[in-house]
Amino acid sequence: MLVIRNLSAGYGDTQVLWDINMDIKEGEIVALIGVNGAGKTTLLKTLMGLVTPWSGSVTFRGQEVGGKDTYHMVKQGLNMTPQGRWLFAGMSVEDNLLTGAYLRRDKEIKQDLARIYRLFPRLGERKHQSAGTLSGGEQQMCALGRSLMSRPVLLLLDEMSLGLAPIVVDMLLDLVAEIRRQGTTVLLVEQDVEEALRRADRGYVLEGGRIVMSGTSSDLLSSEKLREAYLGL
Amino acid sequence: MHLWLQVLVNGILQGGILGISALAFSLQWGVMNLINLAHGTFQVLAAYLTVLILQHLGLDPLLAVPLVFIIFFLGGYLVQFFLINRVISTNLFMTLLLTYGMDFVLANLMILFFTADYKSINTPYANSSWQLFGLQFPIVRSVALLFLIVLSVLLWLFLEYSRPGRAIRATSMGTEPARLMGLKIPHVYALTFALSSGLAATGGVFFGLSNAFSPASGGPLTVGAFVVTILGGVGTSWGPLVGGLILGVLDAVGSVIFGPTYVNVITFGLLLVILVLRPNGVLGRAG
Repeated sequence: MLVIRNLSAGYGDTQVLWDINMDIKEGEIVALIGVNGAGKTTLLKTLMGLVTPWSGSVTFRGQEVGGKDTYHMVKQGLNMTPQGRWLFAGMSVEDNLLTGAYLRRDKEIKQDLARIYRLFPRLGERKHQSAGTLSGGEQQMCALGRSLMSRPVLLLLDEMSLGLAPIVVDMLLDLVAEIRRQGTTVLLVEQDVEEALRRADRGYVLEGGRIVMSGTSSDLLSSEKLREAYLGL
Repeated sequence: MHLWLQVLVNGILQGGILGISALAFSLQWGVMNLINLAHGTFQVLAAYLTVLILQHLGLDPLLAVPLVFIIFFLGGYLVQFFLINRVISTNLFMTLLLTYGMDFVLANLMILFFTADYKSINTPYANSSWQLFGLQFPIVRSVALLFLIVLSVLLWLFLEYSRPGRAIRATSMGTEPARLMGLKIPHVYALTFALSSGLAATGGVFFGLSNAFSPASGGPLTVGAFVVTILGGVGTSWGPLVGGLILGVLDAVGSVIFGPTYVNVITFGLLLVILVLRPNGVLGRAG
C-alpha cells in the first residue's frame, strides 16, 4: 500500500531523514519506534506533504505521491493524527470532528459522527464544548476521532501516548486493533517500544534519521540489541 | 437633555458605518494576521464605483450594494490569491509594505481617473432624516446601523455553521493543522479576503453616501477601522458592533464637550487606555 524508497528530507540546510526504505501492506499495523529526535515526526510530515522530500520516492496505492501537497495526500486517503493533537482549540468538539471530514462530500458524515460518539462517549457528552477545555485524554480522543472522520485508508498515529495516564494510553492503543478491523491500515509511531510492538505486526526502528532495524514484532522484541537500547534489559 | 439625547443618537448611528468597516478589517486581521493598510482606500474606491453605477446604470446606491459587494468580493479574491498570498507567510512587515504599496497605487489611480476634488453621492435621501420622539435619525446612517447588525449576524452564522466558514475558523487557529484536514490555505485566505473586501466596500457605499470624499480619504478610514477593531477585540463576530458603537458615541460626545478638533485625541487616547488595560479588546478574542 505504501512503499518508501531511499527517502531523504530535512528542514532548511539540515538533513533529518537519510535513505529511508519502508513498506506497509494493506491491513497491517506497523510500528515505527525511536527516541526523541530520531526523525519520526519528520518522516510522518514528509509523508503528509507538510515537509518536502529532498530525494527518493513515496508510492501510495501504486501512485507516486512524493512531493505532492497535503490536500492531495488527504484526498488519497492518507491521514495523520499529529503529536500534541493540534486541535482547533476555539472550536467545539463537533466542529473539530466535522473539519476532519472536510474533503468528504458523501451523505454518511452524520452517521460517522454518531459512530465516533459511540466509540468515545466522552466526546458525545462534550460535543458543544470548545476543544481547548478538554482533558489531555479527551483531546487525544478528539484528534483521533477527527482523523477517523476522513475515513482514512492509511492512518499515521504520532505518539498518542504522549503525556497521558497509562490507563488512557492502554485504551487508545487497544483501539488501534479496532481501527484496523474497520479497514484502516495503521502506522503507529511510539516511544514506548514494548507497548507499540505488542500491538503491531511489524516494526521499524529509526535512529539518527536512518532505519537501523526492522522485522516482525516478535523478532524485534526478542532482539538483544533492541532490548538493550530501548528496553534497558 | 434633548441635545445630549441627539448627540447619543448621532454617535450610535455613526457607529454603524464604523462597525461595517471594522467587520472587514477585523476578519482579515483575525484569520490571516493581515493588517490591510489599503482598507480605507478600498472603501473610497467602492464609493467612486457607486457614483459610476448611479451615473451610468441609474441604480440607486442602496440598491447597488449587492453589486458593489460582488465586484469587490471577486476582486478581493484575486488580489489575495495572486498578490498578498505571496508574502503572507513571511512576516507582518512584508504584508504591511505590500498593502501600503497597494494603497499608494490605488489612491493615485483614483486621482488620475476621478481627479483629486471632493465628490459626494447625490441622492434624494442623502441629507434627510426620520423624525422620532423629536429626535433626528439621518436615513443613511440609520440604514447603515441596520446593515451592521444584519451583516454581523450573517457573518456569525456563516462562520459558525457553514462548511467554508468552518474552514476559515480552522485556518485562523493554525495553518498546519488546517492543511492536515486537506484544506487549501491559499484558497481559504483568498475567500477570507474576498469576504472582507465585499464588507469593506459595503461600508464604503455608506461612507460615500454620508460624507464628501476624495481619493485621499482612505487613511482616516483605515485608522478608524483599526481603532474599532482593537476596541472590540480582533477576530470576534460582535467586536466590530460593540467597538463601532463605543467609538461612535465617544467621538460624538467628545466633539460636543471638547470641540470637533479634539476627536482624534479622544480616539487615540482611548486606544492607548484599552491597549494598556485590556490588550484583547472589550470582548476578547474568540478562540
